[in-house]
Amino acid sequence: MTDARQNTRNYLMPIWQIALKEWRGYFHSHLAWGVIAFFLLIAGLLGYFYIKFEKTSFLAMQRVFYTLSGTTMFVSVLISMRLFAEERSKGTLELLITAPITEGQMTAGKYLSVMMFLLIWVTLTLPLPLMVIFYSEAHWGQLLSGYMGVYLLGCATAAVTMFYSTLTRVQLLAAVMGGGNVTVFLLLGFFSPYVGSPVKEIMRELSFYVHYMDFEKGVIVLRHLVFFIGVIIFYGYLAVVSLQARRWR
Amino acid sequence: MNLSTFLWLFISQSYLKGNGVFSHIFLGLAVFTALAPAVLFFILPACRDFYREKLRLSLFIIFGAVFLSTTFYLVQSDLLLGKLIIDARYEESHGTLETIKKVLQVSFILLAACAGIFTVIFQVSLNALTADLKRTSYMLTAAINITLLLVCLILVNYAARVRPASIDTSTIRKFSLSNEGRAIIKGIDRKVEITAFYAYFGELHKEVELMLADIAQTNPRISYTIVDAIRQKEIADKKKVSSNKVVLFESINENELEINKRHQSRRVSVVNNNDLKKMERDFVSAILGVTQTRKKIYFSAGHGEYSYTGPFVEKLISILHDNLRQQAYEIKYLNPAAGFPPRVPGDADMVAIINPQRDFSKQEKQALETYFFGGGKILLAVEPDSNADFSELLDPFEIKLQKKIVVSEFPYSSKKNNSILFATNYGGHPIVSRFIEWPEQYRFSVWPGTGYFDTFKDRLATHKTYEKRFFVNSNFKSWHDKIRNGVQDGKREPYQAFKLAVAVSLPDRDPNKIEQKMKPDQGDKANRLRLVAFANASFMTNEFIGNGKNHEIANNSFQWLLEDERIMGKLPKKLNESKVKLTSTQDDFLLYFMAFIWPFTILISGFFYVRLRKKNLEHAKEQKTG
Repeated sequence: MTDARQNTRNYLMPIWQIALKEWRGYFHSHLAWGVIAFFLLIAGLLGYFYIKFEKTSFLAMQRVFYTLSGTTMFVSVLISMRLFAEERSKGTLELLITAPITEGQMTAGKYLSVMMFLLIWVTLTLPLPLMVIFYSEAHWGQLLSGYMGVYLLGCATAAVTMFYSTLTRVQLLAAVMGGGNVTVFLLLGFFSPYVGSPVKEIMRELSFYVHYMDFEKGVIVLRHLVFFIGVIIFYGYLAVVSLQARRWR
Repeated sequence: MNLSTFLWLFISQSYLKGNGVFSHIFLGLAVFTALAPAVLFFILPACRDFYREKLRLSLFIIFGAVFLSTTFYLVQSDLLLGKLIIDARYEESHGTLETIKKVLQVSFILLAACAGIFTVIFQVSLNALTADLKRTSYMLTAAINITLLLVCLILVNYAARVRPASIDTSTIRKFSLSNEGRAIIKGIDRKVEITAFYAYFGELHKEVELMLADIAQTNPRISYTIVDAIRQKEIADKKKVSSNKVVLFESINENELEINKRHQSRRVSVVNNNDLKKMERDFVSAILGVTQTRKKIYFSAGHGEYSYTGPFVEKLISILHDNLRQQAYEIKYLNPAAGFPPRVPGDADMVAIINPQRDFSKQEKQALETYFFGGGKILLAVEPDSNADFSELLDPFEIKLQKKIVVSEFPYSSKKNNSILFATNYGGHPIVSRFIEWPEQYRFSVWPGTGYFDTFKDRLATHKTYEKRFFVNSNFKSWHDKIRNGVQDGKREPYQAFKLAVAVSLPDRDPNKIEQKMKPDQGDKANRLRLVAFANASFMTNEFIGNGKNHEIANNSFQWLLEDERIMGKLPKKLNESKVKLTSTQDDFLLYFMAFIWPFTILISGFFYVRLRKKNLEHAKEQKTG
């Protein structure tokens, strides 16, 4: 094996090991199963009413993904609040920091575990939009696009909450701060009609919902993808810097 | 203090819109917090002495950036520059003012960011005076890296916004242009400004925006903005729009001689899901309408023709007229005031002769022939009981109009009328080519009291010199109603199909007798002659135009004659979206499965999995200690 490949393998292996360990850890407690079941129930109930009462199958599918976006954000916050806060409260964060891995690898590994968890969550919600397709003329394209939006939204929310979990040892506080930040991002778009240019455009550009809306309708727009990936990268880096700051103290 | 400056400014100018006492109070606060630190810095020597030179430089930069940023924001706001831009809407200076506004906006944001960055640097440097240098270095590096990352992400997002790309995965791509529409939009060579009046987050706002974004992406000369007519009343009033859910298309035609006709505009309403189906067609038609030179249609008059006004509304062709006007065609009348006879006006793009009761004079016929064989376009719609004779126009193409009433049986109507014919058979011609996409029962057209066409020869002739297509044929269960009782009378009135409409065009130079009628110096213009003839005119009246495909046949004929095939026949998109229909069993299954069975299955699975794992762990532990 060449040196470059070996180096890459050496760099990625710890990330994968951390990710696997975290991912298995999710399912070793009743909490994760409870969270999934609870939000599946919420999504299922709301989705049922939208499917039954919306005027067209297109609108029904749109509303189903609107519901899934909300529940996914809640799940993301609850799952990622414990990423670093739990380590700090148990006192194992110092062990991790002193281990022969970088803060970047640590953050990437933990974030990868959240992404894998979200993938499972998204798969478990599949029956809902599939029902719309089987019982009407809804299109598969809208399903694919909707899930892409839901997944990106979940990953962005998880990145924000992960950063806040590096700042505190209290998981609930991390959830509140992360949730609050995400709420601000959501509300920016709703308040934008009340202000003038250019602040209006800036608020809309920062709004999670404005960037999510097109996915619901079955349109995948490049700049929305770029936005969500940008949020993930930015907050991921903030989390890394926050962990590195511990070395300074 | 710097952050609060922007907060007060935002509240004053953006939220309160510069109106009222409170707006001025917040503006005063913004000015105070912008200038106070600078004033304090210069006034109080203790402050100056406290900070070392490099820190003083940072402070200068921060104060200067905040002051300039505040000034630029105020200048570009609706209070000052915004008003000037609205007033100069149709003047040359408009573009310059818009550029200045954009420069000020970018500058304001950059200066605000600069103030923020230097505030961080200042803070870090201050920290360095009293704290560990290594830690300070880490902090500074982190701050710079975060800033650089943010700048990169902003630039990437900006690039993605400026060069948009999207994939429409919806059913029949209802939020983006079809291939035909895209080809039409790409060919537009004039600037078009589109203003869509929709409430942000309101109904249909996103759907309209997606289509407009696709149009703007296809042709950079076309730009759009979304305006809320309720919140941005001054813009709405300027555009003379009173409510939302209207899309306004505007363009300036530099080639128009009459100055007051240079500004062309069209409005399209997209109000509900039904309008979404024809959104692409309406938008493309509107863009073509504002970018093309207005074509002139001359309607003949003075021979008993159907007209726009009159005592009996059902006998008028006002619906047709209005529809043609909406498509930016100019309607004029062929009369002595227009110079007819002895000639058809030179600016006539086509002539329409609809239901002449009396024959044209020799001079009028001569004028029509000269116009037609010189490359003109004529639409003829003649009733069987008309005295008008147009054999001079039809004979060169071996067509004869038979003024005999033909009728058919009534498969598509419960009302019996003994002079109506229903047609569902259409020949291969652009005027009706789209009809083959529809099932037979949805493509019928209604022909009240119609005659029919005949050819001189037994078989349909398509000369290489001209193309002739009989594009509307009656049903095979039609007959010539000799006895005029509306009933098929055995062998005296045999069933057959009749030709009801014909279209003629001349693709190449014609070496046969038609060329004799053309002037030698007409050249290629003469090759553009087109003729559409109907053996009936009533189908275009207000009474019948709404039946079946009548309106489309009439409309498409005009568009084909005017060589507007690009927008002809663009059908609304076939959106088969209906409510999700569930039977009682399906309804129960959906509710119980999604709301109860599925979540509880997951919960129970998880419960047993965790218990099993705990048991295994305990077992493994016992074995180890054992």
